[in-house]
Amino acid sequence: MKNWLWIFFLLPIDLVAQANWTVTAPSSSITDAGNNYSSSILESASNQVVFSITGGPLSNYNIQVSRIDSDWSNQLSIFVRRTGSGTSGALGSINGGTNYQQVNTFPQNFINGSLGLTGSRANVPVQFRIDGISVLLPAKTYATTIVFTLSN
Amino acid sequence: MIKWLVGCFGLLFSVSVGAQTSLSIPVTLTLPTISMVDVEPAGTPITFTFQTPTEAGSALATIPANTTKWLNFTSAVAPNRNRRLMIQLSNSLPLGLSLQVTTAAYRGNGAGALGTAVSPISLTTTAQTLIQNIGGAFTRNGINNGYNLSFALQVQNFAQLRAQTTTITVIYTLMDN
Repeated sequence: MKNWLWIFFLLPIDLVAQANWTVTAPSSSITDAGNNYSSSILESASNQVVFSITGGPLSNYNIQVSRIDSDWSNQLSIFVRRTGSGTSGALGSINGGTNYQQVNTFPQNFINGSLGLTGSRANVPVQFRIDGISVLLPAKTYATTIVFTLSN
Repeated sequence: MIKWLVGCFGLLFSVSVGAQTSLSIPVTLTLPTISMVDVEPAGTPITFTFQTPTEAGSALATIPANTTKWLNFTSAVAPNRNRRLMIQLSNSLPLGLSLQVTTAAYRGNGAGALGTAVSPISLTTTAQTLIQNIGGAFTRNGINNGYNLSFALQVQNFAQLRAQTTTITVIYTLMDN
């Protein structure tokens, strides 16, 4: 009886991905002197980050998103969304996160669901967007870190 | 029966555990320095022609200033830096003539640190500051955006004039301070 309890109690949840997003505003989009960037928006690949979640069977999960700025501008806004659902076993679910939501310096709910009988969800693609690109901003490299926090 | 109950208890535990883990994704955005300048309308050179006086003893008539040209630029600068826009002639004017440029105040719906004009300037082959204190800015494109330039060709010394046709290019350069 104790063995059963410990097995489920110690099952960790985990969030795995290998990615970052490094982007340069395309000065080539300014085709004539006098113009600003043709778009104030930069968008990453639709699968810029692909993450997987593992945990106990039928575990509920909740992912929040926030950012930690290293050198950022309050004229720049960063958004995140998931562009797919990934894969999961029976009874697995994933909710929310399909529309771009602004990433702030405090955690906000992003997606949630159940890991189903397999206790996992794999290959959830995530896309980023930055708004506010302009020649009016100082020319330099801006840096921030998007933090996804998984809990159940 | 006991095992079944234990299994259910275990499942209940598995969904109530408060574990937490984080994933950090670095994001870097580079905004490059940008320096672009042009004159609108493009491809239409300014031509000044002194007309032959119709009466012996008359001076050359003054040529009206040309105000068709607009200076457009886009500038993205590093932090705490600014630029100036320089103007110069490609080669010397014919003897006896001067070419003066007068720059109007900025006009249009651009934005940013658009600078201030230095005006008037008598043009030579040496670069001179035309607009100073340009930061991150864009004038918008085309006529009626940016700085309107008024070019005036004047006779400085009648004795030095010779009948001739001369082509001179006006050169604009955005330069970091």
